[in-house]
Amino acid sequence: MSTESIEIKVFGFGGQGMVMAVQLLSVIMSKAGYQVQSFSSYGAERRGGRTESYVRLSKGKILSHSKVNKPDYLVLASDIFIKEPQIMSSVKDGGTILINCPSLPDNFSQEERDVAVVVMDVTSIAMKHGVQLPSGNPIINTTMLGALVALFPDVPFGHLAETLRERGIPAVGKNIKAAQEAYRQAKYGKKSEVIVETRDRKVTKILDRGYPVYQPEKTSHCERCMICYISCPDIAIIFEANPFSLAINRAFCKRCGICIQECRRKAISWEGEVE
Amino acid sequence: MAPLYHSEEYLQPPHKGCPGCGLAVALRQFLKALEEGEKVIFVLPVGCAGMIIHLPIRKIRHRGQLMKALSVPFGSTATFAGGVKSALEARGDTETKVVALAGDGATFDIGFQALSSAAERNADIMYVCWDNEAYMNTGNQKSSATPRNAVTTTNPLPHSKLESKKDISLILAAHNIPYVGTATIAYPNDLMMKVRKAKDIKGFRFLHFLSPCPTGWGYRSESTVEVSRLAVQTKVFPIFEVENGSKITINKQTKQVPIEEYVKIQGRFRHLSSEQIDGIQMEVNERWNRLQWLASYQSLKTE
Amino acid sequence: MIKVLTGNEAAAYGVALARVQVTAAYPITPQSQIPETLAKLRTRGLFKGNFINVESEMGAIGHVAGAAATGVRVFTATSSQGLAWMHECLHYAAGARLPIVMVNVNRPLGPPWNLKCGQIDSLSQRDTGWMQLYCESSQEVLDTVIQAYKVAESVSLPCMVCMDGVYLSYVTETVDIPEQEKVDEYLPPYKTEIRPHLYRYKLYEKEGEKLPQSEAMEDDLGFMKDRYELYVREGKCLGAVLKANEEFEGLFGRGYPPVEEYKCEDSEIVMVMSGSAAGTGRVVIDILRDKGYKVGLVKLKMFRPFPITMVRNALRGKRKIAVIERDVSPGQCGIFYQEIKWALNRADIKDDFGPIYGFVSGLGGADITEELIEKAFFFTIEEESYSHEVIWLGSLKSRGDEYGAIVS
Repeated sequence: MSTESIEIKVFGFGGQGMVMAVQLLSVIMSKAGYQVQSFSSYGAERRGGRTESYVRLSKGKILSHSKVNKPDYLVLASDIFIKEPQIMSSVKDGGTILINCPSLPDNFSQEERDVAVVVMDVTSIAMKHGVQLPSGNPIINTTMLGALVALFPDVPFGHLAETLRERGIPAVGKNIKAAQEAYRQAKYGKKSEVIVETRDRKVTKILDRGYPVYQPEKTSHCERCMICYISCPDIAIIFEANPFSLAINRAFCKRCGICIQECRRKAISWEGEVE
Repeated sequence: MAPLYHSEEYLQPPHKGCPGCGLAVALRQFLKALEEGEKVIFVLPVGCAGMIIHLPIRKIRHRGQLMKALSVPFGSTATFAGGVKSALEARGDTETKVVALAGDGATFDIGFQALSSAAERNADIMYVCWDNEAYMNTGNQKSSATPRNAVTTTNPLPHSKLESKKDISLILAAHNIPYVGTATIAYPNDLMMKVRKAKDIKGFRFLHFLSPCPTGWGYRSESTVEVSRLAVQTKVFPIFEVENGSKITINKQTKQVPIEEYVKIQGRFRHLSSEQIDGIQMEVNERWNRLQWLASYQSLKTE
Repeated sequence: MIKVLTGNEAAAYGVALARVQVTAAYPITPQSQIPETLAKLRTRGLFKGNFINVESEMGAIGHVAGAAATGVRVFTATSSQGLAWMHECLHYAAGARLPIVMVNVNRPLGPPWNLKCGQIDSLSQRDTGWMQLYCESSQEVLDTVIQAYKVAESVSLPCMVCMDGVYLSYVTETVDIPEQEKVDEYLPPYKTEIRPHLYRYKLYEKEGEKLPQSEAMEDDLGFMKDRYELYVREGKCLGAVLKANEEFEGLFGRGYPPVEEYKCEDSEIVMVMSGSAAGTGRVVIDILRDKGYKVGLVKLKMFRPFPITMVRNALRGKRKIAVIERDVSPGQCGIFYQEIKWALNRADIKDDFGPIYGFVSGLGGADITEELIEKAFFFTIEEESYSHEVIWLGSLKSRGDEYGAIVS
């Protein structure tokens, strides 16, 4: 019975902060005069698990407590979700898709439907402003909110800034700046056009550090202590004893960097490292 | 230096642990210390280890066969493990070992009663506690394994944890069980030596592994092993064994590193004042001295 | 072999005869003689299973659940507060499809502390998925324990055998202990092996056992699929109970129907009772019949899963029904009454049944005397329109209010 509600559905991964994002969005929209409802659904609480979040906004009462299936706004916190047709086709006609990715794949098309697509490299914007977790990974939720709020003409950016301050978000200044940049991009960029954020060189270094590599030319420095092998949480280091060889298996490597840190001989380093 | 371990891998990647998960490293090192083809039944509750081992499908295999792992209620790990062992005995199976794997929450807190009871009865099981010092799987809530002055979601500032970490290994040693061992991932040979030793002893054995958690402790994922090394070097987590409740052997005696080195790289300690750091240093020294004094005790029993 | 035993001792003999392999228990009044007797039988070589004292009831149920998951025959016993301690693991046992048999000595939970008799403890666990069988005599306790293993192992669900605290647990009765050879013929050993696909809540299964495979953490509908399987599995319990009872009767010459009709054929009024008081009920039925009243007794032995068809058949067409029970759900009504009302109330059949009068009596070990049962009977036939949720039966000092009448 929520025919008058605006429905938003968010797909993300544990660790991106999208579950908190919809809670913050509720507060922002409440300030803008909406009745709000938001909740999330996920499996076991852990990094890397898929999360789905649902938001309803209405000028009247919101009665439904079931998940949102046909959203007006589809928000994808990662471009991985572009590959899933049932997700991409779930957005209503006349709706909008907001995607966090650096650029759209070549075969991407929503032309046959009346759907606006906003694409933004939110991760880069977050990194640029230093919005990250202590472990070094960027956290994109506040930046993503900036872009999303821009799609609601009746919601001024000030509500977002106020909400972040009230919540006691650590390093709130950086978060607000990042959100503001995303907000401007989304508001003044044209819909259905790909918006690509050009990357800062510093950002490139952190994001594109890539995978660890065992540098063949440095093999003479390797003392075959096997510390890298036994310290890897993901069994991503494979080796042969005779003749000795070692490699990082990218199918399993999560790029935590333990092997690089632990190797006393610096025989392993980041692939994208700028020397 | 030739590795002490075989190349068999029991844990099948990819698993659901966070990047840089200390528990995954400890689990991996533990499994590698088992013999090839060792007959084991694992008993484990929910927690990070449960996620890594069970989702989306059973992740511990040996030569392609799924290894048996029983998933039990949160506070009952030691109890169920004792029951499994009783059943194996009733079946006439004296070969299969029972290994309980539990986190600090399930060991120090809700499962403590079951743990103490199983230890008191000298139940023939090996109990391994992965200690990431909070209820990490549910989002970093405090447990009685959380160290003093650490910040968690249920101990946010300014209410960082007042109480000290429960000294679980000495508590278990006081039950006079055959073997207690503490270890961590920065010293894999020591960890695996203890696993090998413990697994063949009859009676209740307790292993306590410090498993740093980048997500909860607030440091960059590549420092997981480094953090565990600092924990030993600063004597925050001494590495030792206790045999039959009285013979204490301290396995790592390094030059003591000041506690600042350990706390400064962790987000959960970032707020510490110098008074608080001094307080922690004093407590660490106190516990270390007591451990050394206990280790010097010569048992009255004649061999 | 004829022996004179209390209900507790009879239960222990049943466990020994069933060749149970692993037991664990924690003492609690009025159950303590069960682990004591088991320990005694063990020293005499009559009970060959393994018995350990644990640190709490949670330890007891956890120990036997772990053992049951490893495919051996297990037993534990408890009562009242102890049963409540086990609550989480009771859900676990049904969810994991473990054929645990537990004897629960019915005693209410306090405060105020009461060490006697009441059925609220097991009835509070009626949603855990355990089968529940209520016994009327020490003989029935012994026999039901043996039957329970046959039933539990055939459907792979846990079974609670209930007996009244004090009125059965401490009462000495003449009991015919069956011979071990005959019990072995009736109840073969519980054979299980590791199978290729591993269900992570039960490691060893018997041949042909089909355990559900849904992964409820990752599959949105996984839990619901599992509970559907459990629902279907529970539907097989009545058949298993009837079959086990029939075979028992054939071999031992005595049996206990899950729903027993005593002199109900031509009765106009039927009284429904359960547990030890059902025996007293039979005496009253005979007295009333001598006086010319057409009254019968339905003894409800099986409470979970509720034997809905048998109950409907027993109560169909009767002018009035009176339920007397040893429990009350606070603020509501008696639980047996509630379940029977549900059973008879389906829209397409409810007109086949007369009004049900729900009596609550005997709480905390208060005696359900012949006089009280007669009083309930006369109240039922004299009160034309039934306008009470609960009728309190007993010498209570305070007045009844608009929710219940006091009959004393």
